[in-house]
Amino acid sequence: MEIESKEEKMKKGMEGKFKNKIRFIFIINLIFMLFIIISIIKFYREDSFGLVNKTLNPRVFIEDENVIKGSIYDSNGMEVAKTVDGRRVYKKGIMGESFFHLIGYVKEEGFGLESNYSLALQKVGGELNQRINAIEEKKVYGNNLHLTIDGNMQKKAYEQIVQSGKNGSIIMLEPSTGKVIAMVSNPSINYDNAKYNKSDEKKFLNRSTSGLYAPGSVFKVVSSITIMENRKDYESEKYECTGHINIDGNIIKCYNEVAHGEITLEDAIEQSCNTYFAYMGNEIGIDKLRETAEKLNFNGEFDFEIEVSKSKFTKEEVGTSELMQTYIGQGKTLTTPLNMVTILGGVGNGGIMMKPYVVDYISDYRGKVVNRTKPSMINKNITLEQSTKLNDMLIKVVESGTGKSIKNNELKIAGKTGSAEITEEVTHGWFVGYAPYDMPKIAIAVLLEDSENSKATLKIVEKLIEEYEKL
Amino acid sequence: MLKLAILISKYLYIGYISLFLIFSWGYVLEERGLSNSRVRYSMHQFNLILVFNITTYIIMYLSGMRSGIGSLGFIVTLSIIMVIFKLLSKKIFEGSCPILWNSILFLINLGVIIICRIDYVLGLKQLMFAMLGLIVALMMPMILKVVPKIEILGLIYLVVMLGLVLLPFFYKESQGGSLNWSYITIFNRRITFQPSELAKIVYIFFLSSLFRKQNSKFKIGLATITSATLVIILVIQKDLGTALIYFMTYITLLYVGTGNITLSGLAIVLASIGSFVAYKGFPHVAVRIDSWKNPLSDPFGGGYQVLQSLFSMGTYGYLGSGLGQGYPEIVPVVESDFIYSAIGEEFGGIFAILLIVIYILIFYRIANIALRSNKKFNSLVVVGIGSLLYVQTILIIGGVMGILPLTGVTLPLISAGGSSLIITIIMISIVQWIQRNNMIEKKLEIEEAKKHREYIIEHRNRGLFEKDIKAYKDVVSEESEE
Repeated sequence: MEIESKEEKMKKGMEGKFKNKIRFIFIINLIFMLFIIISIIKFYREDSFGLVNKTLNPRVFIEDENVIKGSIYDSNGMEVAKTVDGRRVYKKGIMGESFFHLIGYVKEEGFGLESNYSLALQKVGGELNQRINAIEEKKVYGNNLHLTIDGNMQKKAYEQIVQSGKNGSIIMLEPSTGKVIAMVSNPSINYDNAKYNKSDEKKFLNRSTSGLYAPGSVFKVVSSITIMENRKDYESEKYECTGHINIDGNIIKCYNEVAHGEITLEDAIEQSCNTYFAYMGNEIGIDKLRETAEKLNFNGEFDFEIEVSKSKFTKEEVGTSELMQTYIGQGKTLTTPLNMVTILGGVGNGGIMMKPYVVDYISDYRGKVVNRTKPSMINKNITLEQSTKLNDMLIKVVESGTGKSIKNNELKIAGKTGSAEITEEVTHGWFVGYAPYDMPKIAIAVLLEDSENSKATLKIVEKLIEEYEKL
Repeated sequence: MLKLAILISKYLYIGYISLFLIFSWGYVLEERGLSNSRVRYSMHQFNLILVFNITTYIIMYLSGMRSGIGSLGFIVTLSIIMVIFKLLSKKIFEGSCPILWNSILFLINLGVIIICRIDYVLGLKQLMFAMLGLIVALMMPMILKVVPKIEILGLIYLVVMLGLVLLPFFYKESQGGSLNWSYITIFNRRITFQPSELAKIVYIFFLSSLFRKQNSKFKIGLATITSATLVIILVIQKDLGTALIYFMTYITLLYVGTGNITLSGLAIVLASIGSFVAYKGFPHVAVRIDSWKNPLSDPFGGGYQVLQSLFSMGTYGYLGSGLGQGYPEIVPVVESDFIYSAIGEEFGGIFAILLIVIYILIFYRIANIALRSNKKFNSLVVVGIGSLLYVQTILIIGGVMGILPLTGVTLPLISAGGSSLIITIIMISIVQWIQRNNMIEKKLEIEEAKKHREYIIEHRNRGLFEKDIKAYKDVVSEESEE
């Protein structure tokens, strides 16, 4: 009897173990399934909005006849785009031109907010109410976009760039939040003349976000960060600039071959000394610089509400000549004004790069806010110490260096000039900076194509920051 | 007016699927004796399918799709098939789990509707396959009765299985880049099918048959070598999804059947190495992995399918576009691999998530049946079927959502495709048949115990022997223990 019961007990124990294994399998699988559910919820909450509005989604171009598309407003409540009798109507004149690249239009080859927010503008807020009302009125209203862009600043910026007579781009944004205040590209198109095709490529290019330019000396900010990270005694380390440097037969010259004498990193930034950076580049190598550049949005996706080109930094091994060129912002490096102003804004903001955005909030037909963009950080890959040091250097650029023509004790501008040689004859002028330097309220990037040097850009910067202060 | 109706229907559909799950919850509570509300949950749950169909008909009628899915004939036929099956299954599979039947009927019904909405002809085909599958399911108890001793046929399964997966090499029928299709000719009509689907059942039977008793090294070795061969054949046929499903089934049954954790772990490690080699070695594998990591990196090449699927899922958000209002046909192979995206697009994200909960419910019921089986073989078969379907569901939903690399397997019971649908229905009917046998055995046990007690009581009334009193006491104490 006893032996039997023992056997039975054993059998029961085995069975229990067997059943526990089945339970274990079920639970493991359940965990996988829950993971999938959580991922789907995450998709709907976070990822789907940015994704589905891409023009790769064919549904963006499907327009619902029954829905009256919402309007687009600037930060002052000015209607930049609206629907009248089933047609999209935009601002006329200079105001319209200044907004053209940002607003864009909807079509297969469409671009800008009109394309990227086509679905959002057609989304019917408070749907049940509207649909019930629609039984009589037969109309429902889509949601509206409210931009961070200040129409007045936008117009002024556009006027400035038109006056300069050069093609180029101006971006102004709040470094502490990433709010874009103005973003213009020249040449632009009047909506009345826009035939809605891209035959005239040059005019349709949004130079602020899709124009890829050699950053020129502005890139020395990135090089400086690399130097700070890799040369511990960079503050005291001196280099004798003779106006040109020759390494293995590769020659790099300073602007006008001016000899800057014995200089440190600080002086090199202030005077935009090419030979110092070429020398340092040769010491440190390309990999470290690539590391820094990739931390600052190069070779990576740039998340923004409209199309942005990827900033490029060479991925290959380079020879001595290209290495030195790369350190001074020439070489194969290409970037957008938006990326540069984000980086410099980050420097002004204590190293914290904020994600730029132009859509402040979306409201439904009653004006109720449906979705408000929260400022978010891209990264803080620039350390506080580096940003403080860089801030001091960038102040000097305007105080006594290459940007001293806009020295102004009230505006307190800091930034970096640049002139990027594209060919022997063509040189693009840059200025990227922020103001006031002790508590940056606005970051600005001005790029003028084929402008020989950065003089013209500096004038525009001064004007626009002055205007911004008046606001 | 139409738009208003569609808006309301979106909420209704979410309501139906929620109620469906709530009724299951009620049923489970009742079954465990935790509630005693005497509500006939399983019947209400089934009725929801009919209400679902009526709503669909109204919406489709209003949208003007009157020839296809909006035709009364179609929806009535579909509903009648459901009702007839429900009634017959109750008779034929006495004691089977009604929640499991309802759930698979709900999914089949939903599948036929959504496929029909995408492509009417495909939908009709799917309806035919569903009918065929359900008829076979009803015949399963008879078929299984005819086969003598299904648990000891190990080697026969092995031969059949290898024959099946090798079939496509001789009767080739390439579809969608995979080489796992084959055909048979009946009455001069060429019928294409996927032998690897049919082999799934045989494979589960094979493994269960090997692992049903004390395990020898020989058996484990045989199982491992056979599984490895199968997986390699499927990889050669470019059917990575099915290969992975076979492999996971092997791991599961190995673990449950032999309890050998070392071996299971080792298999997983070896498989990881194997997949890495496949990633490096086969370009078509590498493309899938790369496009999974970032579909936007190649939006018109490798990432195209997943990207379109995500657009489909995401564009209309939690509530969906409403039935007939979305554009699922933009997504490639939407009727089979990407059917889940189509459901997400038109019925909405909430519905799609609750649909996963229905799958979880199905596997919960299957696991429950496995736990109740007395025979190890039966338990193993049920666990095998359950985990196979579970893995398949995870793979394809994870795939179309870009969570896992895309493997072209079907979403059980919903995706278009006869082989997969019919085999899955048969699998469920095997599970139900085992449940029915469990219940019959239990019933017999109860009846025997009753008879025994009656016998004793009778003897006592006549005047008892001491022995009988002792036996009676034993029975009583046993009962009170229970």
